Amino acid sequence: MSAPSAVESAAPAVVEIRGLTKIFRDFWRRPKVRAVDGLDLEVRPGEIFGLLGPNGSGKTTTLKILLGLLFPSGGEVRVFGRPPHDIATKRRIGYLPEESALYGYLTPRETLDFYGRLFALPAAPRRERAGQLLRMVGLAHAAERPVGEFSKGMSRRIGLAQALINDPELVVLDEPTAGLDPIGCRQIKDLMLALARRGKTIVLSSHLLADVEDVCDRIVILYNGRIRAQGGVTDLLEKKDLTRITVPAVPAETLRAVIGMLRESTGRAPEVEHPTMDLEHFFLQVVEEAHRSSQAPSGVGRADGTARYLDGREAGRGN
Amino acid sequence: MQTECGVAGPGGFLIRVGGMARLTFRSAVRSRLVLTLALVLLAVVAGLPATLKGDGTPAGGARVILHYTLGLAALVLGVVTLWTACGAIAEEVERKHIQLLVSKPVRPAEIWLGKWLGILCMDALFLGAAGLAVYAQAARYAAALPPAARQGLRQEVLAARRAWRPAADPVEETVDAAYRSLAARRALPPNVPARETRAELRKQALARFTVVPPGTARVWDLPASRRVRVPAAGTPLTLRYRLVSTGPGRFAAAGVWRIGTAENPALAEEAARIMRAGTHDLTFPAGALARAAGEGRALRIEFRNGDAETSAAVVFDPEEPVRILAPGGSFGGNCARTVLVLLCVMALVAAVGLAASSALSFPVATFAAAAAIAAALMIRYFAAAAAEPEAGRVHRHGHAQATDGQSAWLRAGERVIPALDVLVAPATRFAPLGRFADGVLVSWGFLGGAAGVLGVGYPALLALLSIGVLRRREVALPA
Repeated sequence: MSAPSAVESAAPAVVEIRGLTKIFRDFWRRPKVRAVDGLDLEVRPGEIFGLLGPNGSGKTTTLKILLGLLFPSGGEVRVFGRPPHDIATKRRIGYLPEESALYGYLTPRETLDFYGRLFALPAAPRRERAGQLLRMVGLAHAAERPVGEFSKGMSRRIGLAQALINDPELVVLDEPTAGLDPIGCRQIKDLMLALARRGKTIVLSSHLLADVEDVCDRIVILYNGRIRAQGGVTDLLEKKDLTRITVPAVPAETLRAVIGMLRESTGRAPEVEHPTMDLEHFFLQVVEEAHRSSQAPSGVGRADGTARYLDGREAGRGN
Repeated sequence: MQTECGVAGPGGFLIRVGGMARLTFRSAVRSRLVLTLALVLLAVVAGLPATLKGDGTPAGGARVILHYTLGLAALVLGVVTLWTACGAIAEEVERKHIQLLVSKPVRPAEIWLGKWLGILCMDALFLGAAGLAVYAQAARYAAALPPAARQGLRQEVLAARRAWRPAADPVEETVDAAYRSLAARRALPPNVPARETRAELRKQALARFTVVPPGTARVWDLPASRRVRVPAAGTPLTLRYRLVSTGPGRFAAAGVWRIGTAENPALAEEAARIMRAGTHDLTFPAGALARAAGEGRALRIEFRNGDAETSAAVVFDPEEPVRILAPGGSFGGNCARTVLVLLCVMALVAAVGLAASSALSFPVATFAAAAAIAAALMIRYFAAAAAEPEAGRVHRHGHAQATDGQSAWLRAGERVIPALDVLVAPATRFAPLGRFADGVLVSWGFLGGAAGVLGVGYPALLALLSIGVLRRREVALPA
């Protein structure tokens, strides 16, 4: 997770939402669905903010209003202190939509070049960034294949690359890990953490609670367009009445002595178990070994760390 | 100037619009449907001349190549353009590409302009290829003719002759004067609306200017022009006139055409025996008349109809006045300008498609745009009918009175149709194919007018409409 200092900064909020309501209407303008109902929230600079909720809870609608793709029925939304449809605001945002909205007839390189042009990037940095991003998402070897031939996971990676072409200050990710294999998920989570370390702000919505738990500083849980819970992930999930101690394996007599002491102190026997590695880490280990001994992949290749310009390693970049 | 993110100002605008245009062009040329239609277009250009027959004359054959081949190619490309334009924004919305676009710092105007320019690039490519192919076909056709016929073809069809027209007949002024005279004499017919009286007077005035009864003559004055080139030695001048039919069946008229200057009114004289209505060309050999024309001097044309025993009354078409065709440019230049005027037509078609596409789904946009273009083409005929005082009057003056509902519809039509006609009339003025195939100059002025009206004026209005819609449109509404 990002540094607490960034989260607790006194800088103005990146996203401010006050009393946001969105009502979808039918052809005759009659109210059909109240997708968001009186939402209030703030996203602060440098934090990773998660929107959680079941299907139809209003997560994607909220994100789309943030991006100016939908208009609020009520309330106020400010991004970097301006309305969402403001062009100056959009220059500072990167967006990965839930569904791949890429042009199937373009190659990944053409795709990144096109979105780079929309940010009016000059030709040289556009080419340079496209190359770095393709290496970062592990698709450098497929740079000249039409995106329409890609698997969902590969399209997702190109989608993520286009969201970062402008080195955005605010990254909006709608279900960023959907359709990705565990390696891709890990890479995206690592990337989010790296971006947050550079002071970028990230707003994401996801169904995958483990992903959110891994990276988010704060979350809100939505249900029927309303906030049901919100706060720091640690604060929300911490069980203050329990303590876990993890130590290297100890001899049986030492363990018995410790259990005796704890029973005496708490009045009940503690649970003792050998911790297991989580499946994600185990899977990544196996794939890493397979990568070392395999030929060139046909799908996603090895990702090449974070793009240099996103790391702030390029001259003239960085905040 | 460069911002943190990219180039600002006009440079940034050009990069964004260029990006949209490249995307649209790529989308079009990589679309299977467009590629198929492009193949059809090439087949038309390559194969149509071999399947068509002219009127048996070299000129007729060449006109078929020029008119039908380029016309059909333009028609096919028009369909491709409309299809592409209707999908350009509507499909972006349906496939959700627009959600990414709108999240980027690109304005609706930039999206619209980029799409439009991308489609025009595709049109320019195909039209350029079609124009070159037609030019090559015409050159090959001429090369296969005997030298004399080839020479005639190059003077008559594979040419760019400037039309030298007389000043328009003062029809409206004559109507005004006649109406004022009737009013002053209190001789206006009672209980007849002024509009109907004026329509009747207009008919009389038109008859006065266009009908030449046997034994009478009509004179046209051509003002001095500096734009008529001195014809090369041996190049004839052509007098073109069009007669309208005065009734069913054949008619025969015999008269004499005389052309000259104020000092010498009979520099050239030619007897004409006319057996049918329609367009007629009369060729005058080069000589004193050609020199006078080349010097840009004012000319006088006279038609003297024969006597009543040998000739019938002739009626000149008020829409196409008598004119002299004199050399005005090269055939190659004429071909290029014709293609550019067609590109202006495509620019308008693309703008109509994009306007429909901004607000409607793809199939609905295609239907609406095609219907709008068809209605615009037909509105001229409806407007002409509405202008006739007799139109729709059967109910009012006849024995069958119209119901109130019918009358309301008729009255609404009488007001709306002329207004719509005023709106679309400028767009219908620029049809270059007839001129091109007749060897008549498609001038830079004509091209400039087409560019201004079809290529900029109407598209700008449609762009404003589309941009207004796009600004207010929520692009991520659930299906």
